[in-house]
Amino acid sequence: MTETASDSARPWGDLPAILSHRRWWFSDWPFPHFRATDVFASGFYSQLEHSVHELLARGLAEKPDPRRLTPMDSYDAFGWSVPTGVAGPLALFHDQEWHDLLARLTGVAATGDVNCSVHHHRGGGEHGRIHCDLGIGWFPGALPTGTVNPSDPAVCSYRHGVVHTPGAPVHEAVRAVTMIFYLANPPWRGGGQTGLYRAAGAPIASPAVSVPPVNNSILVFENTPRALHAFIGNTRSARNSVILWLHRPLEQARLMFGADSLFRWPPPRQSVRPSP
Amino acid sequence: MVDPLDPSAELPENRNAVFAIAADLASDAEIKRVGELALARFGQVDLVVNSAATFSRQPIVGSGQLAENFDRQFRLNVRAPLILSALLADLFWRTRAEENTRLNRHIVNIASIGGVRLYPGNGLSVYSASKSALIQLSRHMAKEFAGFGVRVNVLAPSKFPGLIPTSQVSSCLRDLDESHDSGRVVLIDGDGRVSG
Repeated sequence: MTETASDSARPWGDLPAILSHRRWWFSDWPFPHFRATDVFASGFYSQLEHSVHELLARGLAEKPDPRRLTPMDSYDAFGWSVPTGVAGPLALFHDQEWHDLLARLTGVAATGDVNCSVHHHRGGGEHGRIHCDLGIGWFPGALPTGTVNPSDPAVCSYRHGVVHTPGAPVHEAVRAVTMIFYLANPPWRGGGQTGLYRAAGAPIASPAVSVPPVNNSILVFENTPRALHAFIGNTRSARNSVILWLHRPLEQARLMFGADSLFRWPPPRQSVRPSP
Repeated sequence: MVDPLDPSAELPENRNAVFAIAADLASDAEIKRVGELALARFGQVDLVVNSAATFSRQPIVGSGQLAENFDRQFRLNVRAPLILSALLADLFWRTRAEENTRLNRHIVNIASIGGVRLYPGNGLSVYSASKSALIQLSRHMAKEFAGFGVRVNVLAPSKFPGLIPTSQVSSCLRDLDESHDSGRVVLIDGDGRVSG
């Protein structure tokens, strides 16, 4: 394993020691996915939950603020990008060992590029839309990265490739694996699930499979055109989760799914495209 | 099941993995297919949990679709568990009294607290009546199925996960299955109190 953080930045110590058990559930309906409850041992889960509670205690921002959850584009939710070099338990999601666990689990030859955020849906939030996650993101450095490589807005924006460090090399990669870890939520009483669908035109409130946001549970799946999912709204309570994407090379994704299956986010105003 | 640290490892749990069958239990042919496939796959049936159900909220007067909604709810909530249980008795249990008793074979019919208590004004009269029918039917089944050693019980929870956690319902279900009781109607109130 390649170390990407010092021991002091890895407060969890040994990965097997913080897993509560080694039995995750697999299903191929309506598309292949993995689920587990009681993912982490209670001590480590409490640390993760505390980190998110601290974030929430800073309040929700209405404008971009690197310290707080801010509104997401075209989505009734707030997001906070986990920064490169984050300290504490959330650093697990930027760790090579965790990246490799998800890549092996899904059988994806991932690049090491990761994008991780905390998402917060307010109580009564609106439905998301049914979609697959085959978006193209931007990362610092050149391929192959060799080690885990978090997106870094100080170098370039993840969604649009706007370079903030002149001359810095950047590259594109396509989302390959989605991980949703549910935490810091009140006891689940309905609503706020992640719906999994057979078709993009399905009624959003009637998914083929409904994954409730139960604390310390996880949902993992490979991103393909069939991996259709959505946030189901109408929850009486807020929903919090950590979202992590692993990535694959752009050319590989084009060959696997066709260029038309991949998507780019609409460019922001006054965007600056990176130099080739 | 997968070991997240060693996804290619063979796990003992997977030797008896879940065998899922998608079926519309409003159809007698589909019910028959479920029973036959389960027996073909495993060679025996030790526990049946009749939990498929449907409901629609509407008043008795002025809804315009009373007859259709009645037929649909009674067909799935009452007729399906009855037909499936009778089918398994005919196909398998009826001639295996000693084996059924030894393996503590069991049917749990999932009813509703609304099948026992009155919650007026919420448009659930037909649904509640269907669950009342299931409860009384289960009492009769418990008497009749005792003749060949199969137990029948009812679990009647409040709304889950809206009022009580799903884990409490599954825990009560497991307790019922591990008991040797038959003919019981176990209620779980909205505050989580268990009785019966």
